Amino acid sequence: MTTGPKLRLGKTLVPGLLAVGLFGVMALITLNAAFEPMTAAAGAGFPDDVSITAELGYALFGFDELQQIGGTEPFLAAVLLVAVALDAALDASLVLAKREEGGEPVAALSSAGEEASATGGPEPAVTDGGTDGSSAATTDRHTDTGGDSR
Amino acid sequence: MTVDVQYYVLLSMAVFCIGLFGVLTRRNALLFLMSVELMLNAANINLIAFAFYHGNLTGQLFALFTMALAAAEVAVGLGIILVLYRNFRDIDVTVPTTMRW
Repeated sequence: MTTGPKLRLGKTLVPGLLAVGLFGVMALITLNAAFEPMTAAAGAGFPDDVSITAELGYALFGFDELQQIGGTEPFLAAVLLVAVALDAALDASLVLAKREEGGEPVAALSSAGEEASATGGPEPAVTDGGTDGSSAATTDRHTDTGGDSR
Repeated sequence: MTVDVQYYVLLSMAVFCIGLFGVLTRRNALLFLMSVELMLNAANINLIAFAFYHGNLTGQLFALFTMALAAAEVAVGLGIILVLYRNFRDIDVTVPTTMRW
């Protein structure tokens, strides 16, 4: 059972040689590639008198006419899509954090409130190790250790 | 004085390969998640370095979106690890085998 990020050494590191080999090959290719030097003459860098943060904001919300650095696409549609994606991820994490107690789903954000404090405080969360059914502090409420029966 | 772009590429390759090393050798789901984050951030280094190289802000903006998607991925990934622990009392990725073909 994994109880912590214990470092495993030995034979388990053998597949990692693949990553080391890949790095060697890619480094060889990169160091032999012909990149131009990073100078303003070669077109690198941004003008000194322009606020990069402001330019990023204008590009994010599609204010093309305010931009001073040319060639940046408007990203308004992408911002909206990412907002939806983050919203969906939040919902997904809440669904995944839901647990069952006695066949009833319990949302992660629900609170036992005063009922729990009257009976000696909230039960330990299942993710904290649960009560394991053997604890003497269990009340008459249903206290399983969570998880689906497999 | 600015650092040449091939050294940024080299750095991002190193970060990517460290992440790949972690994915290939680790069994703890949390370390898996961290390794995937390293691989994602290697791509960010490249995007920002080449945005500077070409004098264009699109790469920096794209890196911002990659970070947002990485945040979404972590939210779902941590939820999955939570369920993994709840069902198996363990976050070793080799333990759940029911979806293995």
